[in-house]
Amino acid sequence: MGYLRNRIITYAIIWFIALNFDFILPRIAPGNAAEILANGGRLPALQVQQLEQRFGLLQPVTVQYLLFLKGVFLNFPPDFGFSYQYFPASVSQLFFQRLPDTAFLIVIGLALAMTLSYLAASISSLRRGGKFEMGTLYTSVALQGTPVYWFSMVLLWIFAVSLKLLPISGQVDASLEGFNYMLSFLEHSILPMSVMTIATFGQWYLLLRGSSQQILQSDYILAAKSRGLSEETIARRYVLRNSLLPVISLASLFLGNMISIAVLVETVFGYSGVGDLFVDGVINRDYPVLEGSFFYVTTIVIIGAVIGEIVLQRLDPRIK
Amino acid sequence: MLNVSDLTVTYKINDKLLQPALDHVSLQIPGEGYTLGLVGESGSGKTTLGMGILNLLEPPAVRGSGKIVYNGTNIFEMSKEQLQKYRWHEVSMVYQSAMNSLNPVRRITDPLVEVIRVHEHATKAEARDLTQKLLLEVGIKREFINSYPHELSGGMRQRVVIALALALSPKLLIADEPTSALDVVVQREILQLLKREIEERKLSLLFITHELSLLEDLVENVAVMYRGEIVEIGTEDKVLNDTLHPYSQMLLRNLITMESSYEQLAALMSNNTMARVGGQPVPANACKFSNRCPFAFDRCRVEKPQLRETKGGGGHKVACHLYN
Amino acid sequence: MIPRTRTQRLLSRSRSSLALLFRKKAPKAGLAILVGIMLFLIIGSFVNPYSPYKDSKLLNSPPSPTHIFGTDFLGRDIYSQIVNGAYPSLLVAVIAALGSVVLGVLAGVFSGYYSRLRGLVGGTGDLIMVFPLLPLLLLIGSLFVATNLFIATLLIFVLWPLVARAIRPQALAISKMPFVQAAKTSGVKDREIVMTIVIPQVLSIAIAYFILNVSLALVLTTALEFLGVGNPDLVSWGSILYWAEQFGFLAGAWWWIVFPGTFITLTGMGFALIGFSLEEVFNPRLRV
Repeated sequence: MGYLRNRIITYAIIWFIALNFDFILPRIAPGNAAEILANGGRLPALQVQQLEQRFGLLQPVTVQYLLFLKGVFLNFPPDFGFSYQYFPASVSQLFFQRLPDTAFLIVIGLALAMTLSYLAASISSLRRGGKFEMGTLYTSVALQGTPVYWFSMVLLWIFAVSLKLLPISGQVDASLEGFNYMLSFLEHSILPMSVMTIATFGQWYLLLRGSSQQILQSDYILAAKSRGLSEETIARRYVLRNSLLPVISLASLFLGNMISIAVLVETVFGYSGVGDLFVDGVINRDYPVLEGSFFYVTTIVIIGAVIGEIVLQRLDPRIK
Repeated sequence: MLNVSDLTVTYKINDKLLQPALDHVSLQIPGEGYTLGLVGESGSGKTTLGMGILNLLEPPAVRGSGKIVYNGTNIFEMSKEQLQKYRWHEVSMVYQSAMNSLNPVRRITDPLVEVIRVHEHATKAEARDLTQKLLLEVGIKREFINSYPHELSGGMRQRVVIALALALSPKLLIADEPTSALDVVVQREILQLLKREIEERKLSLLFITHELSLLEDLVENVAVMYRGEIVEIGTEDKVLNDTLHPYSQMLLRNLITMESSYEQLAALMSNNTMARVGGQPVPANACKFSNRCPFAFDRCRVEKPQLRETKGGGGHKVACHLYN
Repeated sequence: MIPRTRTQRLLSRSRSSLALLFRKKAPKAGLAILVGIMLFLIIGSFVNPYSPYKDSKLLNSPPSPTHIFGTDFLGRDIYSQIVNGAYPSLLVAVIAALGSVVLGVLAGVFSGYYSRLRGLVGGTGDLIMVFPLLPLLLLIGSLFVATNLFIATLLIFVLWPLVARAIRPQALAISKMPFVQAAKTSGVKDREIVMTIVIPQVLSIAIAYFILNVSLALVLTTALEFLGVGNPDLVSWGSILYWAEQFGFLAGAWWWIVFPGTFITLTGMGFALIGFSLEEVFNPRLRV
């Protein structure tokens, strides 16, 4: 119990540091706050005034900090003010509106990737060193060098432009209803989901393999063999099971990785999720959006990490 | 029952780095109840021999010449099915470190139940029953039967490993330094447990160790290994009290153990494998111990001594020019 | 005992590892790919009649004898864009990889050897690794003036924990070995032990990580360039795709997308294959 508590405290500290970082960063960026605020004159004066008030942009930094903390801790969901672009929509509102779509991509993508990796690893372990294992291995390594955004573009070209099988961009055709709406949603998500799954699979498989390679060298594997157990039994009951443990703890860190992939995927496919929001915010210098989404993303990743630790503790009897 | 003849095993790290482990070794376990202690330092090849008997030698270990015949069949020529039946059913092994041979994420009952079910096609209930009996027999208290390995003390874990080795009532039990990781008090208990089981079940035993003193009162016969060769073999009484080979004498007086650790260390630091166990490289036709032997004379440096029975007889063999 | 100097020992060890390496197919393939690309780029810079910035009237034209990879929406030759754009992207990637490995090795070795540092360095490393890479890079890269040097520094900052994480257990294992303990008790200073014993031992795996990081950094750099960080008007492998994404689809210019991306992918793959095989060789636990 003590171990877990320490880890959670560590993560809490990390989270708080991230929070401060989130605050500091836009404020040390070059550019006058008021100028940026006015967004090069794109916002009407009244709105500029409202924004000034909400963020205390003309006030000393300490006041801004307090306003920031107030927004984060005294509200649920945390209040990051309004977006510059989508004024007067609140940042949190925007984020949560788009979160389910990105979550859809990530969760299902991860689930598919993990399942496929596990299957591939199982098949590989039956014929160690065989063609299947080598093939999957080198494909995964090669995938590491492939840029996700380019891969997306190529798939988009093949399936949407040339073959015209799937829609070019967007997330769903909002004009449709009911079943057709669902269908459209699925249609639009096939490509992003595929890219997500394939990209994640490569990394996950390599992780799983690295872990099982280490296990294979363990003494108790040899001991099991000496007891006359077949290779399949050993592979199934000992190697794969045990190699999952360290990998699960990484699953939560993986979350951050997948969010990075989601950012790229959403941009290319025009899928309006959280990643897309973030990139928009970057392009348009929409600081509240950036602050807010960065905070949320980090929080989600850290929560994922904590969940991972808890799950690991449950599964591994050694950590008690 | 078990006949090791002319076995040679080398560890081949690459084409240039060859570490000899067993050099034309021959050994017999004639029948039921035959107990043999195998003594030697690290690097003498004793563990390799143990592994070889179960055909567990994996690359980089390469078998050169020789064979191991068990009840008429050459182990190295057995098919997968034959090997599965042979392993554990006929010959089983107690490893040095239980922590390394037990799956840390499973309870101690699991490998026992598993091995019983896989080999004997028992039902889960039958297997569990037998497992419980075995664990109690080796001295695991009832409340600890469902624990995980890390929850038990070293001594208890070793008992589990012994129970595991006995699970299928094998004919031959190989114990590879089963007590090195334990403190002296627990050591005694474990050795007593082993002795009891061997006697009750009429098992043959191959007890591998680097400590000659442990073999007293445990085995009937003793063989001494040095750098992949058996240099002396005979009854426990003869070898321990009427020690012939200079190396065995030094082992007995514990003059060797400390020194060899340092040499091991120095050898590990360098890249020269010939610097391991034994110091200076020795020409191929000489006695391997000639560079460290206080009694070495010219003949030792040019002719390798063969394992021959002494004039005193009684099956006491030694490979040394002093007695030929 | 045959006396050997330390260099001789190092060489003989690397010789046997290299021998293992050359027997595998993967690094050879990777090497072949990289050499091929290098040649292509070097020759290309001499055999190139166009400037990548020169507009022409030949807008969005498919590959032809005069423009082997076609032209983009301003009529600029894509082949020359690829040849010229390699330099900034690759340079940033290599510098980032180098820096991250140097920093990572130092961090890993010191935190592995000195138990007191482990918490601090490990914690900082974990902190950095927790953040999703791309959003973080994107955020910082967009807020500040993102010169190539800045991006490289950013990448170094973000990538060193990966290296440190891998080096730390090695350094720990080495520092626990008996001859290190022996050296310590006989009075050898810690720093000297680290310098002369620990670091050379981790060197081989550090090289593997360097190569792997080049692949990773290349993908990240081009991703940033693709998203418009830095100066998208400056021709780099990623910025080509930045414009291609916006205008290429509409114009139906598949060559604009396919060719530049293929180069990035092949280069990334080449490094990844070599790096992975190196890692396998130097980290014997990973061998099949």
